[in-house]
Amino acid sequence: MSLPGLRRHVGWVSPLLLITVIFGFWEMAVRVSGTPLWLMPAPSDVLRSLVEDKDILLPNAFVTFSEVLIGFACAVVAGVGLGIAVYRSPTLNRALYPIIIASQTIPIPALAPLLLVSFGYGLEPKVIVTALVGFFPIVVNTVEGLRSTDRDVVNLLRSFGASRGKVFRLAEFPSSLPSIFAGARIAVAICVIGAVFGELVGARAGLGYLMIRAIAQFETPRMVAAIVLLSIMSTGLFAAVGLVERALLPWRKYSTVTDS
Amino acid sequence: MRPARTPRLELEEIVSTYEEGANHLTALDGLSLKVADAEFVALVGQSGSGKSTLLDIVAGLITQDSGTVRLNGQPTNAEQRLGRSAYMQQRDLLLPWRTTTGNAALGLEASGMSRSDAEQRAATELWRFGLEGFGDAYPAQLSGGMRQRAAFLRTILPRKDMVLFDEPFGALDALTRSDLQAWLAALWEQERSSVLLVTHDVEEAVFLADRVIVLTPRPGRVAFELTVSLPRPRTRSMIASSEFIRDRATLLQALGLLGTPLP
Repeated sequence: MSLPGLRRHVGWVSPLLLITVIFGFWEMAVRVSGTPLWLMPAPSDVLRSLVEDKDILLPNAFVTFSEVLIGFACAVVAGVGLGIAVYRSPTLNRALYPIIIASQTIPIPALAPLLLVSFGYGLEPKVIVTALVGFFPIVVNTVEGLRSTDRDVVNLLRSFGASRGKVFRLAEFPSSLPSIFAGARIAVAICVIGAVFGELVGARAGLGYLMIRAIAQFETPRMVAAIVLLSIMSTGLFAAVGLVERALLPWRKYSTVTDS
Repeated sequence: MRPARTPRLELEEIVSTYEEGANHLTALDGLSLKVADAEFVALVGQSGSGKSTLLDIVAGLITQDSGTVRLNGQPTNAEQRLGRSAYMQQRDLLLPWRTTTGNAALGLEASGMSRSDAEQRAATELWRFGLEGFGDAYPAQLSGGMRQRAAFLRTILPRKDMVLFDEPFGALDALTRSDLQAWLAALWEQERSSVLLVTHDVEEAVFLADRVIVLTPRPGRVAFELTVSLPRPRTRSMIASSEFIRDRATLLQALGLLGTPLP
């Protein structure tokens, strides 16, 4: 095995080890202290709930997953689109960008109850909250990525006779992609939070809805199981964005400029 | 067909100023020069003599304050000059997301050719630029010399009226630079492009150019002009010839680097 391969392996091993130690300690602490199940379940109780309640957990996880995916897709389309518009039009930049930035001072999850009034208990209010929270990192990273284009490259293409549109296609947009993906990775993780928050406020399905129900019925292991599923979902989506990035930007693995 | 005597490029009394903070600085002050068809002209001068400004003006990236720029005898404004020359800078400016072939094709693509046609053209020229077998490599996988040769290919391929080199060897180590200079001299024999090369390396100027123009320190003006006495084609061994040494000494003196002040 090559050295970088080995290092990647070691990179996985140490957090796994740490998690095992923490879970082991948690399990022991709950068992030794005799804490009641409804107050704090042990990891083994959560695992049991994951297996036994899977017919309840999985359909609800699927609902949340759909909300996240649709919301995230909307955030990407709107965020990249608006980012490009703001970058290319000085007028829009002056008029729109300050509003976009200022809009982020609104705690978007706090809009959830309002959306509930307008859109009811269905998918729409959750998708809207999800899209709104995911939108911001994507639009900001799109604009910053486009602005980071090497001015000398732009001048080079112009001197060759490239039109403004061609300069954008050949240099500016590709330059911004790593930054857009960095924004998308942040966005997808907070989209999960957005969707769950939307569900907590009022829903008929989803993991957030399930958590509220589980708490009300003192089914604490099931609630923690829902949280576990949410983290798996976040991690999976985060990794998926990374995989898409690696597939679309194969040159990055050779790039001397490393990122995290 | 334009008459053979019309210069490719003609600069007449070019004045260019710029703002730097509160200061109003003059980069070029009444500079005039000509580059004939298939002539290789080198511009030498100390840092800040407005050499790069001059290339920016010829490329059409900036507008001169006054003076005339003629391409093939026609007076032009900056807008009209865009797309007429191939500009290459000290930094290779290769796009990290494009392969060698893709980068080499960029000049053609920017000039309006489709990507597939441009890449096809670039691929057939890789061998002449010592890049055979590296067409699918990304810039980060290439050595400094190869990256610069890829940039040369990108510059030469569109066959523009003028080729502008702004210290193209400046970022390379001495051995690679010397190799690439000899390689460029041989390439020029095949291409016969009209070249304006900016450098502060007097030996490079003498070795590559037909004519060397010395600029005054800011504001830039033509201080001295020398027709290089070396015959064509140039070979590496010529740097030991008496002509080379004499021309170099003349230029160093004109630059005030031999202890004798400018005439």
